[in-house]
Amino acid sequence: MDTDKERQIDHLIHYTLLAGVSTSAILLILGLLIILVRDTPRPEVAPPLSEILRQAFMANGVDLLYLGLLLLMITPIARVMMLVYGYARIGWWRFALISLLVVVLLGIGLALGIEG
Amino acid sequence: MYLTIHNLFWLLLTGSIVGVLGAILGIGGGIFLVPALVLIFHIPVHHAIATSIVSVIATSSAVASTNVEKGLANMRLGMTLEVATVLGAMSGALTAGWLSEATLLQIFAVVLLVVAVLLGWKSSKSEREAIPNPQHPVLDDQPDDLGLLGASFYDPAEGRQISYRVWKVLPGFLASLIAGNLSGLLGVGGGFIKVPVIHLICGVPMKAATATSNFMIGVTAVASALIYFGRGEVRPALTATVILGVLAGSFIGSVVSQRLSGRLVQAIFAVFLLPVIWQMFVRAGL
Repeated sequence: MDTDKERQIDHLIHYTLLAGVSTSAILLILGLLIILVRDTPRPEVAPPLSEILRQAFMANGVDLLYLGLLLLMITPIARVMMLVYGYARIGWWRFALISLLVVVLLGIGLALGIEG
Repeated sequence: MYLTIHNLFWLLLTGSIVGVLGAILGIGGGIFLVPALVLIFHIPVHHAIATSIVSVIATSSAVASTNVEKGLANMRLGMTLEVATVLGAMSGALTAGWLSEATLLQIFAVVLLVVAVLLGWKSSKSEREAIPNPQHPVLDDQPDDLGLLGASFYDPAEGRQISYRVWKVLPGFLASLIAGNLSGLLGVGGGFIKVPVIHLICGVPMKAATATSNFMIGVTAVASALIYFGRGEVRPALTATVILGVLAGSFIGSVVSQRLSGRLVQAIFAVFLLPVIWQMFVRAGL
């Protein structure tokens, strides 16, 4: 195994995870602050995933929370997709296919989530 | 639970304590978070599990980001085993939807008992006793061929590069399936099952086994979190507050853990978990 090539993938994954967690944490902080300051209704139960996807870009506290949580859940999926890309790019097809299989399985999870 | 400043403070504090404990004890915070939410805040167990599983994504992603950069997490092994954990997590999350609150509490209490025993056992072993694996010795040098899944990393504590091959992937795959199932069912990371198997049977050094397990947990958790989200069991304000507390606590815990005796804390919490387990059984109606 070429460790130099693998280090490039390590960096890619490091920045993907860091960006996802940091951005979602900022959105969650902003969402909570806006909800508390404006005293808007607190969401008790999340709407179905399909509804969140439609309303995610509405800029109010509740939707910022939804967006932050959604981004947090997308982060590991993005990490696996980056691995598919990274492994394919350096020609490690076996691991690219394994990563792709995980993406497919997560897609089934997403479908089950949307189904509710 | 309606989120007020008062509730926000206590949830943040609880999340922080759970994050600190998880980092010090080297296990996922979910195992503490679910009982805390159920027993202290009286949150229904399905919602507590959903909150926990989303917070597990946050801590795993944050820690994995560092471990990947350090080269500690074996991503090739992690991706291979993730196929099993994801399948297990999805089946676990679907099963949880069919189980009653009492049944879930009983299963959780039993798993908590296993964790308490493991913590007690680990605390009785010295660091030197816990690490060696004579069947699959770690290679000091870096040979040309470590196999498809082998890897190497620099260990600053030992001041040298550690290389290893991976043996017996099938037991690791089965352990990952079980760990994934428990993760989806109970909202825990499942590292307490995966790490010993990856270390002792697959022959991966302890630090790499822990980092690889943590690397896998984020994807495992998201597989079931999507299902909990779809069922409307993730309460956004509650979950967001807990996540922020756990993230802050994990950061503090990673700093504090370097100055504490891990074995002493493990022993204390093995004992501390016993009344929590009792309360979980009482809550389940036993």
